Amino acid sequence: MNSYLDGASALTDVVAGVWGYLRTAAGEATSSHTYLLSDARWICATSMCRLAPETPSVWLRERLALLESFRSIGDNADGYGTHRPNDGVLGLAERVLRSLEAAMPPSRVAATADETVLIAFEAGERSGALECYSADEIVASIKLRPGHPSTIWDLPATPVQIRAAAREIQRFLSEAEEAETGVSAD
Amino acid sequence: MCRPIDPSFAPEERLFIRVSYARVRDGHVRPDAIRIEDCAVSVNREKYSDSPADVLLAAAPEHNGIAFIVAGDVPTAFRPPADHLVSRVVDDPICNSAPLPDNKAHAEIRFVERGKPYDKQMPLRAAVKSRLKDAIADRLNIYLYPTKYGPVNES
Repeated sequence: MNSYLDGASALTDVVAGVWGYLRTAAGEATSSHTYLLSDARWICATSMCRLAPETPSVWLRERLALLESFRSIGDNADGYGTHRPNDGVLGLAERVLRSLEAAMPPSRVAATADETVLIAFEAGERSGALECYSADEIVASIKLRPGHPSTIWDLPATPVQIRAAAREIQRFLSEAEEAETGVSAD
Repeated sequence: MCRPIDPSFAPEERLFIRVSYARVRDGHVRPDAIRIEDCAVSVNREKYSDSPADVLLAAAPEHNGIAFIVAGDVPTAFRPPADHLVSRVVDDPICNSAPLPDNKAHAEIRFVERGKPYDKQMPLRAAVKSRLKDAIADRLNIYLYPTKYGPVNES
């Protein structure tokens, strides 16, 4: 569990979750809150706290396996001299994936021509990405559509900052969904 | 040297790169198709290519698509955080430079600090590289759509 609980934010979540569970057990919970303890992997699920799974979700397992497969990319596979992403990049990409919330599966995880790992989110023409350049360098970006310059910013490689950037990207993408469907993604 | 250096690029001259299926989306080349090495992007000049397909390599079968940027469309300036840089297209034929294969059509889009000479050792911050790749990718056009070759190594 500890690997999911790095950062003060996560610790706060757990404290809130345990408190919520105790309140439920004491019969104080309102009907709008549901606290689950049927699965030992989950601490709680409330509007007050986030889930802290001990085992990865399906998408996370798949993306981590994909990430591992990048180790077998041959040198110069593109004829431009590209190597596979190095261990530092792969390590950071794994941390980024593990930092994402269960409801934030990336659309795409790719080893790039620039030897980075790109963790991308896409909805219609809009896209966003977290690109891992080294063991501690992440660049976040959002793009309205191809041909429109991306908004780009450096991202501190902490779980809290990564989650915040992923939420920002999700918000940006959901604006597109709302515009297309007229229905809020929430 | 396999031919004299030719520094003149007509604005409409196409500069080709090879791309893989995974790096094209809805008719647009993704920025992750762009490789910046030594502060430059390698391209093949139309002027010295027998065919656009000269850019394809048997040794890189997954990268079977061709994209191009016209010389006159290469961005000369960039938005922040790369606004201290300019780019220029430079002729750079490769001959007798083993282990590099000969490529008489080779040229480079080089990124240079404004007012300074080209320095391939110039460090580029990650965010700067992202801006450069984004700007180049936005100006690429597809000449030949890539096809899937074997398993696509991404989700």
